[in-house]
Amino acid sequence: MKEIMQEICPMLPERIGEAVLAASALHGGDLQEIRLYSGACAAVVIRGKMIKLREVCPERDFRATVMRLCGNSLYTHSDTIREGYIYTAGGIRVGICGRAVAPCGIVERVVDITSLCIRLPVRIPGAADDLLPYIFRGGGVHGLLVWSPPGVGKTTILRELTAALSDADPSCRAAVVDSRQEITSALGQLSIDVLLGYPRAIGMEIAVRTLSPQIVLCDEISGNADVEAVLKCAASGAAVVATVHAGCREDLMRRKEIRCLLESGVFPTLVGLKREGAEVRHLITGGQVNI
Amino acid sequence: MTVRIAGGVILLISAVFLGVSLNTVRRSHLHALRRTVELIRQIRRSIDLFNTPRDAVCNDFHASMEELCAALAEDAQIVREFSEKLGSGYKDDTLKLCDFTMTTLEDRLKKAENEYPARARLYITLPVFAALSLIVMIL
Repeated sequence: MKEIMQEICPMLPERIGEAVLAASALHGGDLQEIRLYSGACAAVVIRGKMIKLREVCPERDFRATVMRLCGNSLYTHSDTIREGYIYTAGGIRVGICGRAVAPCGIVERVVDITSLCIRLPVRIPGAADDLLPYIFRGGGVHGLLVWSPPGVGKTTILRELTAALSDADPSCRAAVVDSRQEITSALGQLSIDVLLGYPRAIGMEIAVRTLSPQIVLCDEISGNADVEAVLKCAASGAAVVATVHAGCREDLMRRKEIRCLLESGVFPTLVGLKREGAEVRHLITGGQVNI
Repeated sequence: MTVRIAGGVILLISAVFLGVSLNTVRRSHLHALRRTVELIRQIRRSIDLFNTPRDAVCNDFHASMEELCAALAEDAQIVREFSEKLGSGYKDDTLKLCDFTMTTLEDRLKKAENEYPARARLYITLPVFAALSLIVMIL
């Protein structure tokens, strides 16, 4: 985290960088996000809670911050800006918000950027160790679905699972589809296949076709294309470890695409994440469809 | 009388140096304009063909920029504005910025090149004639 803060703070306006460090120290670390709003007070998210800072980010400083995050070259980030984020040279994903230019309903570019959400890649080594026995059991590799509301730590768990699979002994053939370049940031060199920036469904298809994985990991499955890709992976014999947004187990079960996946047996284990203060509890259940 | 002649000679020499100096400044200005246009053309090509980040493509540009701006005189402001805006837009806006700056500087270069011969003659002859006139009046 220290290295990440050393990398990100120089990109922020000076007063806001100092305020962020002070807020993080005051609230015991665990800084998850830094949010900047053009012409308004900045904020931080610590352990799922948003804390507003007193410092305002003037428009001029905000624009300068956007430029620094882009490496002074907005045009080199136009592909990811269309998807709603910037990926910094240091591997940090920054969500952006502004005015979309979207003729025919397809976002061509985003202009007048007004807010930034800097998501810090959190590492909690060992956080996913209790899930590994559910993946590797009975001599085989099995799938797993992690669900929770936003901001509880699904991507962090997936990141730690990725690291664990890379270090696993005996090793297994794993492929991670890192569409928004969030999962593998802060992990360094890995002994698994990383499909960086691929659209989820396409990445999974390519992984299955060309990499013969035993396990495929991806973040935030949603929609029919993702469901089809997961089913294709399973049909090819690859286990899938994925995450999905859901407020509670009942919400999860109500979603048609998730029910379809659970009924097909792709996810024999469900892991719900629940934040309790500074801790995140894992609610591990079987992948049966019930409400 | 000797003093007057000596003064006249010194005045004449100074006038010649002034003329040469003004001429050199004008030639440096032309050279700087040509070099700047060529640099911006290289920057545009890099960005258009390879999507090169601004910092990578501008390394040489910035090293020379201060030197160029000193020689560009009244045209330095355009180059400074270009440098400030470069990288802040999408690719098509960036290429348009390069084109606009190049076109503006090329127009100024053309005008300066057309005017240069007459200016050169003026810079050399005017100070000398002024000095000679003064010498005649003194003597």
